[in-house]
Amino acid sequence: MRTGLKIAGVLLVGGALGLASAGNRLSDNRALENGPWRIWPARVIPAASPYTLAHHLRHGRLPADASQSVIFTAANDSDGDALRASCDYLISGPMPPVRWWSLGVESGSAPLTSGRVVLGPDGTFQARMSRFAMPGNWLRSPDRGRFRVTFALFGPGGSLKDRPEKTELPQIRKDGDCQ
Amino acid sequence: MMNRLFWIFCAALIAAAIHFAYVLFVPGMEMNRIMESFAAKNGRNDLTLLGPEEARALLSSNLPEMVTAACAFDAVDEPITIDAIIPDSYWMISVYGANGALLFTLDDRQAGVDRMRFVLKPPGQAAEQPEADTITVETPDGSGLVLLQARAEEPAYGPRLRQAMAVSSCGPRQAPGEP
Repeated sequence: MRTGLKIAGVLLVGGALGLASAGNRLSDNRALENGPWRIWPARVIPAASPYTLAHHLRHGRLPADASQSVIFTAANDSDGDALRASCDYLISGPMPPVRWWSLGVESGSAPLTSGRVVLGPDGTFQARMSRFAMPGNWLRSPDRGRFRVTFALFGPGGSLKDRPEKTELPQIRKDGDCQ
Repeated sequence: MMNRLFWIFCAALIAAAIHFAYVLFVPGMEMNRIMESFAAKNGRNDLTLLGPEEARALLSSNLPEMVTAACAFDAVDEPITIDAIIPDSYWMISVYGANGALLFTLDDRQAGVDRMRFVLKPPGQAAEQPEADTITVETPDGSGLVLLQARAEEPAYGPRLRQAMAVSSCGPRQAPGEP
């Protein structure tokens, strides 16, 4: 009886530890970092690591290869604070050399895309992210709660394909006080 | 003391086994779920245009500019042919295996032509002599999912791209339009 309880306990504890460690290992916290952006190793051809495959597919999403597209996500701003609908943000900085890009709020409104934004005289990009309409390039954030931003770059060139964590990307900073 | 160490060792062993089983088996199980669900709705060996929500569920980002078509293929009995019409805009084909691994990808610039044929088959299966502008992709299990994506730079291009996608085909036939 006592041995049976011990076996059950070991199975329970071992199983819980195994699932928790797998969940932690596959979370965005283990992705490569580039400022506020996170990316999993983006080279999946000729072979992706089992962790990279599991990271994408456990949410039912197919992995992409960096030879075609590089997809960053951000759940925090450049200061490390969670992105919140109650704050306005300024997204600004240089754009890497790509054929086209798309910057959008996950499960949100229409994204900003290259070709449909106004760039500065020096080619830098600047957009405001807010739930309220803003002049210039405006990315609408959700009405409430925390959210994530996806930055998808297609036809990447240069070091972006192989070292996406080292490429200079736009930063996300709070624009004024949060409400 | 030794008795306690033994049970701790057993729990650690089970945790490691669960961890690796989760990481190794989840991609294949999830890919199987995606393919079965897609095939139940759209059939096998048939190219289907996806709606924005379906495309968003499969991919890692919200890309309303992208026209996406998919085909759950089964090449176990005979090779499957993808006849792709490549538009004058950003276009990409991605072939996924049954375990979720990305086996092959190509974009419009790499293709360099406006029409291309892809033959999908398991290793060792006989296939016709490849013709010009034909690429043979070996799929380890003989089944998987093909995604075709094209970018409509302007919303007005969307219908034209959808037409081009609709002319593309996926199935055990030799050329588009043949019975």
